[in-house]
Amino acid sequence: MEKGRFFKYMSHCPENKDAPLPVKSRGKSLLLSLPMLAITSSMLAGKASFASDGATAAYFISLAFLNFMFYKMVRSGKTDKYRAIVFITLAGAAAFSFMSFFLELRGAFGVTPSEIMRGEVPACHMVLPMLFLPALFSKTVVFPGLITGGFASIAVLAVFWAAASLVIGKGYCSWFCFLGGFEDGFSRIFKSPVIKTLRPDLRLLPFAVLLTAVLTSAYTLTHTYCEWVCPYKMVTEFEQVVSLKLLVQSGIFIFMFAALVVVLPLLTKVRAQCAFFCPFGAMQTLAGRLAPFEIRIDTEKCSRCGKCLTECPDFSLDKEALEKGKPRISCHLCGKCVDLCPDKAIFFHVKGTSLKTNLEAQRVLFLYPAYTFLAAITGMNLQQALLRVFNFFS
Amino acid sequence: MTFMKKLKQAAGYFWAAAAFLAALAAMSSHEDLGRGIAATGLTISPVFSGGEIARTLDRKGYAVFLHRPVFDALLREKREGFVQVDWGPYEALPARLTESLDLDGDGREETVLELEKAVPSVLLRTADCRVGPAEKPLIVEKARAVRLYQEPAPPEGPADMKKIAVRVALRKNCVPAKGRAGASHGII
Repeated sequence: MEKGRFFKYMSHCPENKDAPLPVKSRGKSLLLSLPMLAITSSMLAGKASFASDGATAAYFISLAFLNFMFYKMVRSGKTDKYRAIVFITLAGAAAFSFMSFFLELRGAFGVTPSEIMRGEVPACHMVLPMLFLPALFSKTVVFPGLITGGFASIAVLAVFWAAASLVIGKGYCSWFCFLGGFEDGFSRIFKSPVIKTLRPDLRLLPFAVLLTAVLTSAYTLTHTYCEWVCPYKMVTEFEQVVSLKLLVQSGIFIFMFAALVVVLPLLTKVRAQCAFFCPFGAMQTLAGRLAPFEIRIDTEKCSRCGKCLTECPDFSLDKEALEKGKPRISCHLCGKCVDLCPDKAIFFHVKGTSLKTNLEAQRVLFLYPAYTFLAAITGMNLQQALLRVFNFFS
Repeated sequence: MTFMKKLKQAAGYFWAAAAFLAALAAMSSHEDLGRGIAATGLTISPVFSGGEIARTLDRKGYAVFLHRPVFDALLREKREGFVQVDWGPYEALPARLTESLDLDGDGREETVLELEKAVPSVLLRTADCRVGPAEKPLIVEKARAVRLYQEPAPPEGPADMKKIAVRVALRKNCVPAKGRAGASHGII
């Protein structure tokens, strides 16, 4: 059996064989970027107060940043290069604005018991898989958040999730998740992986975590994954340590963050939490099957250099996938393989359409909805983060 | 290209274009769509909220709010649950409270709770082995047993009421163990 992803197909990647990128003219790129400018300016204006110079500056800086990145994405033909910049910015901005907001509100990062009783804990998409069974059988939500209104309500989160699942499917994990940017960032630090062999059956682990989380949550009527093992508690919020149990839980959060979000992505160049542990990602693999976009591989063009296999951040490409002409269902549609392929044999594709028709148009068609989600969540968090920085210095 | 292939291609592009519109719709009307979900009658689990208030006992200047016993499980009920008791408004509470309470609603006051306003601990006395610390002295974790919280103000009503909340472990039924049938008590 083939073990790991670093099998030798060919001895060398054809580094100098790069096919020309579909670079567009400045005018055409600007024209294609105009709809995104209209969408983002209106979306960001909805979240901006314009009550101070700082708020106005935060709005315009966010708008300029997001639209410049989209323009570059369209013009250069590179997807992941610019997506990653926005995605990593999103993670940093989300953590900063979230933590500073709660520090300001309650003077501490930790959620107070009072907030739990009042149901005022901001919801996170990670909890969604654990909510469905109890909601179905007992009509209750096993999370101490607000159903509607307030900061990050459960119903609004569910709407975004449903829409994103229908539109970009598993792409949610690389275009909308405000947490994945941490791993994405750490996985890019080293040029080549230190740990070069990973067991292929690790791909099944998120499904096991999902099943365990769903069943234990249904049994205990609590959100067990979030309460016990979620690595991202470290960069969002966790319960104030007022008991031994909470102390143990906090220790686990620190360990999980260090291991799955920092160390393993550094050593393997794989987004380890997403690829091996995330129950939400596993659910998204199943929920996103209706989405119209996918990644395909032209098996005739592919020279089997294996470059994409070593670089895929979600462990979705292997020999079998290359032979089949499509990555595994865990693919996040981040576009890294599309950018890197020296043969230009990997591309974004609209399901049902011919594999030979205008592939660049299909990429742009994917970019509009995907970037709309990314820009919405990034814009909101970036504006907040910038405003807090401006307020601090003024 | 065959007709079927053309049809598939058209459907693919249509779905991709519709996806973009769906993304825009989600962004622009997520609040309305969220309210639609809320209208299905979903509520926050009583494991977190404490459950609905079943009875309110008026005292001099303050009130005792007894929530319904919570034994909620996914399909049936659990054998072990809890009852939440709130006292409020906090400012009007005396320094020391002694309450005889009927926690399970059977008409018999089976439990005495002694509470000190300044100290977050409660002394529980009961002759009923279903209530409070019997076999396990801390079924409800200590950190959550006594909590101060500010209840949100209703849209048209009095200002926020700060309360003391206590959760007491409750069993559906039990057989008293030998030598333990009398009063059991402990700091919750």
